[in-house]
Parts: sequence; structure tokens; C-alpha cells
Amino acid sequence: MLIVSLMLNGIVLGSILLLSSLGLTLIYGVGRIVNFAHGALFSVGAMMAVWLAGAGLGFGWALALTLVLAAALGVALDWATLSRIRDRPMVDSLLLTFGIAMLTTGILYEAGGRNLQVLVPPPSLAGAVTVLGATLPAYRVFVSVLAIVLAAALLVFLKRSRWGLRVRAANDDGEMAACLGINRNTLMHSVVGVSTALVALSGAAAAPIFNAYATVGDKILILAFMTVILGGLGSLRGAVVAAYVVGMIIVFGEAYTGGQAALLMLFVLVMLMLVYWPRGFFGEGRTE
Amino acid sequence: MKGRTISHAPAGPAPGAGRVTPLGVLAVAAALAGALVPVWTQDAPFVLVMASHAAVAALLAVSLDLLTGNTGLLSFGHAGWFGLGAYACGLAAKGWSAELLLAVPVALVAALLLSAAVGAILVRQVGKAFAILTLAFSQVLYALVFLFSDVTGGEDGLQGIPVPTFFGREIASQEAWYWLLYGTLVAVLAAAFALRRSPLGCAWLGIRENAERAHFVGMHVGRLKLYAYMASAALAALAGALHVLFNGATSPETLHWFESGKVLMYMVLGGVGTIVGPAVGAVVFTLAEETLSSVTDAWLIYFGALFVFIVIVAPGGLFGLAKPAWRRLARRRGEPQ
Amino acid sequence: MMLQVEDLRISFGGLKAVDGVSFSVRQGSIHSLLGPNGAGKTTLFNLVTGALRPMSGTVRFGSRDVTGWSADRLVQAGVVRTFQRTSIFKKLSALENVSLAVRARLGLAARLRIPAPLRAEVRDEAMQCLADVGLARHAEAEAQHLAHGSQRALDVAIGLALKPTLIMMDEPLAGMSQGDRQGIADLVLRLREEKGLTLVIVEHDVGMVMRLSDRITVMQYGKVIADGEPAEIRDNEAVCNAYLKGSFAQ
Repeated sequence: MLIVSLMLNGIVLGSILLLSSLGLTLIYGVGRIVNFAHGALFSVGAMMAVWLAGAGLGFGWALALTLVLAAALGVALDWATLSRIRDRPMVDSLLLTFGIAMLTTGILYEAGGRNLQVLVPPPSLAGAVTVLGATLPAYRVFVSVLAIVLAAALLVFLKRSRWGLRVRAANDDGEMAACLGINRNTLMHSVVGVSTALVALSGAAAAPIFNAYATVGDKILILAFMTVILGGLGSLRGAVVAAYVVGMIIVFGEAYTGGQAALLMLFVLVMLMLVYWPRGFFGEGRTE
Repeated sequence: MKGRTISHAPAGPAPGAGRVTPLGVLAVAAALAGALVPVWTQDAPFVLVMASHAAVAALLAVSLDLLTGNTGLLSFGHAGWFGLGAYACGLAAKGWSAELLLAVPVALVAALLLSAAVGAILVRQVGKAFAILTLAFSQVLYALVFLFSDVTGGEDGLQGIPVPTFFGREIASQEAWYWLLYGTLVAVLAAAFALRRSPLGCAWLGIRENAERAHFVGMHVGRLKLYAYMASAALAALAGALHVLFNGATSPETLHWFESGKVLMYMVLGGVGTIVGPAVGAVVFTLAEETLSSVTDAWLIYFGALFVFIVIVAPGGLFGLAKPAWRRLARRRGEPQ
Repeated sequence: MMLQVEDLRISFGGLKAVDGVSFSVRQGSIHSLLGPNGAGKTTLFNLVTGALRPMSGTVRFGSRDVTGWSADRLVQAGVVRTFQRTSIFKKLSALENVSLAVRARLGLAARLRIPAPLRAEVRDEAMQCLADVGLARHAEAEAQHLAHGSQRALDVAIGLALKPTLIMMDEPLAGMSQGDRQGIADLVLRLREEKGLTLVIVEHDVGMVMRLSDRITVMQYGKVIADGEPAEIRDNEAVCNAYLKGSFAQ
């Protein structure tokens, strides 16, 4: 049942990507910022979880605390750096987040990130499960469920809460939102905080699968970007669909062509998309 | 070539006369000083090696500036072209001929072909999408090195490249290498300046200034951007080719996004669009990095922190800060303000 | 007829921005489009100048059907537009601004070298364009250092370098001081008199429009409500109603 097994793994990867990409989409939509540090933050989450678990915390607590600490980190990051360049031309934000990526990765290297670190899931999540005739490690099911639940929670929160309303308004039309009295500065703090928390958590939750080291997030960064472009820059619906498309492509590509060619295939696909459907799956992508 | 910025025109009212500028004198002095490096590093050969690396880095920085300084497009994957040039040339040297004049063009052709294909789609994207895709593309190239690891040596890198020849004669001495690299750098700088003053260079500046108007004036903006992209890719590949021949080996690290970040840093620090600024930035940073990395493993932290700091504090780069002084240096003698 | 617009239509979502607009422009005349914000004149302008494709209707330039033609094709045909917000190359000198356009027209934009006699020709042409708009003495000045009115004139000069027969101007008086407005108005008249150009102008300044135009087309809610000479328009009941009551909140 190879196909089924691959599809299930595609869903697993897709779910992880979903959690990682939603925040990226929000930061772009609300702040028009392309966050090159997103991958490094994934690595931060992975290593933070390993460190917390190693310090004696239970698995669940490690994940939860990673979420909270990462949120704080995100807010601090936005306050300290991104807010200083709000009104600058786009290039500055690209360069800044890229610099943050280097800085963060450098710090992770010194914090033990040169070595592969392993996060062992708790025994309750060990073992394998049979789904539709294929076996899958139980932990992967857990990660997928967790990612989907959190993503759904975010989307619901965006739809129902006042914070979410402000975010969606700013996402749609930043200037109008400002005219309506929405403080974009503090709103960005919270958006970056949420985005960082989610991507760090996905790194932490994925650590038992991908392990934890300084550059584990590099590949996720590229995949997340491809997801966001395919789905249309700033489109949440697009990101949801694209995450699973990318997950499938990578999993199937790696199975049939071995290793690195999957990324090439994905890249070619993205290039084709840009030629024929530049605004993403739902045509909601921003073209500026 | 060394006297490129000085023209001894007869005195008179004709435009272009009296073009001796303080900057011109400085440039010639710097060029001569650079050429004499092997002389004053005779007792410290490792410094000459560092200087050679610096020259290659400067070449790479100028190549990125050719793209960004002229079209405003920011590439976050420029090291990919460097690496492509290195591997293409290295493989050609190993498998075909180690003659410089044969192996290097292989790298150039590879870069031109690939950049034409990829660039045709890339340059039509919005700035942010372009930035993302350049990063992605360099990661694809990085992945490809591992995909074809039986050819490229994978993680161990490409090794065992024979000593290159130039017109049949082996280039073995460090001095000869330095002068080759340095000479190439000077030639490229001169060409870049000439390009800036050409109609194409002016068209590029127009695109960078106001792409919409450029389009409405009838310029084929997409095509012109593609030319810049291809030229910068080819030049980066040249740097990579020279690098692999000089080192005798290369590794996938040359394609890593860290390296792309470094080139960006050289350019941003030196001042985008100033041509010479990025070269100076590259030299300063390469020397700093090579001395610093022998001191600490954590240079990436310092580098990243400096990068962040520079972007927040001084987006015009060193040369942006020094613009008023720069202008005074460039003003012709006797010209009113 | 230099320009003939017939039954042009475009909608955005449910909004009929341009709803069956027709008018004709005679060669060598100054033709203005008037109307309040939201009347659809800018959209109409964009439809004719290649920034938008119409959903139906035709645009004829001379004997050619140029409906939906892109901006660069229109430039080749001799139709040039200027911009509401001055759109020039700020860091280049005035002369370089115009030279760029001349070279683009001659297909020389991407050259690495141009032989000296051709270079002189380009320069002479560029200087002539600058002289036509009264900026000859500012040729070497950096564009961003020019006065506001001069920048607008430079914008026109760049358009002139493309040797148009028809110039479409998008609110040429917008954001100009009183003195500058007169300067631009004089320029428009000079272009018609001395260079025999046809001009189509979208404007708000009713007084200026009345003084300058040979013919005026008035729009409201995406439709043409009046079309005629200034004197007719002034006395037109529909126009007066619109000005006094409806959406002409000036």
C-alpha cells in the first residue's frame, strides 16, 4: 500500500507546513513583510523543545512552554527590529529578516545546534497505527492532528474575535485599517508573536521526526515560501490548500526520485504557476 | 586600464576637458597599491592568499551590484551562481581541460543559459516574489549538488582539480594567481563603470528609478531586467570559476544561503549602486572574517548582528553615509558646486 | 478624426465604471474630459491609453482599431500619456530624462555604445523637447531638484520625445499652484499651436478647461451627459444641474 502510505505522509508534512505557513502569510498580509527568519524560528522551536525536555519538563509541557516563549520572542523581535523599519522601502525588511535569520542561526550553532539533537516522544505516542491499510507512526498522527487543530483554531479566532477582525481588516487594506483607528504597530507585535509561536511549535512538534539542529528550518523555510506563493501571497485559504499540495509533492517526489529532486520539481511547478496563475490558487494573491 | 579615470584632454571649454578629479587620483593610487600587494606581503604568504580570496569576493559583490544597483532587484540566492560557476568550471577542468581559457567559458555559458531560462520568469515577478524565488532557486541548486553527488562529490565537495594553465603555461605561483584575480577585478570594475555610462546603463537606472514610466516610454523593461540578471549571473559564475581553479576544490557550502547573505552584506554595507562600494565592502569583510574565524567560531552571530544593525541604522550603507564626501571627491576640479 | 471612442464599457464587480461612452476628437484640437470624482473619466482615460482593457466598445486612432492595445504599442503608434502624479526619473538630469525616451523611441535603449553622430542627434532632439516645454536652461539639473511646475513640464517633455501625434494628459493641473497652472495651460496651447499636436485632457479645473478646450465631453456616473464646445457646455442644463445639485462637489 505504498500510495496510501505516501499520501498519509504527505498529509503529515502538509499539516506541519500548514502550521508553519499560516504565520508567514499573516505577517505578509498585515505587515507586507517577507520573513526570511521564519526557518530559523522553526529551528529555534525545535531546539527549545529539546532543551526544555532535557531540563526535565514533560513532553507536553515542553511544547506548551515553547509556544509561549516563542510568542514572547516574536513580540520582542518585532518591537526591537521590525518596528524600527516600518515605513522603509521593502528592501530593508527583506534584508533585515535575512540578517535576523543569520543571527538566530549563529546563536543556535553556539547553543549546541551543530549537533543533531533528538527529541523522544512520550511512550503514549510511540508505536504505530494502521490507517487505511498503511502503517504510520502514531506520533505522526499526533503531529498532524495537533497542527490541524491549531490551524483551525487560528482561523476560527481570526473569524470570530475582535483581534481577528482587526487582523483581517489590516490584511485586506492596511491604510483603511489605520484610518479606522487600528494601531498597526501593536497589531504587528501580536501578529509576529502569533506567527513565531506557531512556527516554533511546529518545529518543536516536528522535532521527533526531523530532529533538532541549527539549520533544520532551512528546508521548511523554502517549502513555506513555496506554499505561500502557490497559495497566493496573503491568501489564507490559498495557504491551507497549498500546504498539502506541497506536502504531497515533496513526499511523492522523494519516494519516486530519491532525495533532492523533489525540491527541483516543486520549484519548477511554482515557476509554472507564476507564469500562468500568478495570483495563486484562489486568485487572491497580492501582486505588489 | 589603470589610467581609465584620467584623460589628459587639452585645456579648453569642451565638455570632458579637465577630467582630473580627486577621485580619479585616489582610484589610480588604490589600483596601484592593490597591484603591489604581492610585493609587500612577501614575508607573509598567507596574507596574499587572503587578498586573493578578497579579490574573488569583491568580484562576486560587484556582480550582485550589477543586478541590484541597476535594476533594484534584490537577489537572495546570488551565491547559487557562484557555486554553479565553481562546479561547472571545476568539472570541466577535471573532465575536459584545465586550460583557463577553456574551462572558465564553460562556467560562463552554463550560467548564461540557466539564467536566461530562470530569469525570464523571475524578473517579471514583483520584488518580493523575486527575492523569495532567488532564495528558493539557490536552494534547488544546493540540493542538486547532493542529488548528483557521484559527479559533484556531494558533501565532500569537488576535489582534485588539476593545476590550471593559461595559454598552456601552468599558473602555479601565488603571485601569478593574485595578479590574475586582481587584474580580472580591475577589468570588471572598469567595465562596470563604462556600462553605467552607456545607454544600457542609463536605461537600467531609469528602470530602477521609475519602472512604470520606463515602460510607458516604450522600453522593454522585462527584457532589460533579464539582461542585468544574466550579466550578474555570468559574472558571479566567473568569480566561482576563478575561485575553484585557485583553490583546487570547492564544496556545497559555497551555495549556501549564508554565502548569499554575505554577498548581500558586502553590497549593502558598501552601498548599492556605487560599483566600487560593494567591492570595498567585500574586501573589508573577507579580511575581517578570515581573521575573525580563526579567533571565534561564532562569527555568524557577529555577522548577523552587524547586518541587522546596519540595516536598521544606515540603509544607505557606508557609501550612503559618506555620500556628501563622495560627491566632493567626484566633483571636477574648478567646477562650481 | 484623430481619435474615436465608441460605446466603451467596463465594469468592476457590479459597478459600471464606464457605461457606453462615445466621443470623437478632431485632429489638432484640444479636447477635455470633465466630470466629478467617480464619473469614470480616469477609468476611461486608462481604457484609451492601454492601462485597462475594455469589456466592449472600440477605440480608433486615425484609421486603426487600437482597442485594448498595450501602452508600448500605442507609443509606437504615436499615442503618449502623461501622469497625474509627475512621473519622471528623479535622479537623472532633465536632459538624461528626455534622452532616455528619445533612445527608447529609436530602439537604442539597450545599446552598449552609440556612435558619436547618433549620440549628437539624440542630444539635439532631447534639447529640442526641453526647449519646447521651456526647460532648456535646466537641462543639466537633476530632476528631483527642479521646481514642481518644472517637473510637470519635464514629464510632458519626456512624452514629447516619443514624437506623438496625440497626447493624453491625466489631470495636468493637479497639485499645481496658481502660477504653475497658468504655465501648464500655456504649454498645452503652445503644443497645439507650434507643434500641431492633438491633446485630450482629463481635468477638474472647470475654469481652465473652459478657456483651453476646443471641445468638452462631460461625464457623470460612467455616462456622457454632454458633449460640445465650451459655450454650449456652459449653458447645458444637465451639466448645470449636475454641478449645482448632484455630485459635482467642487
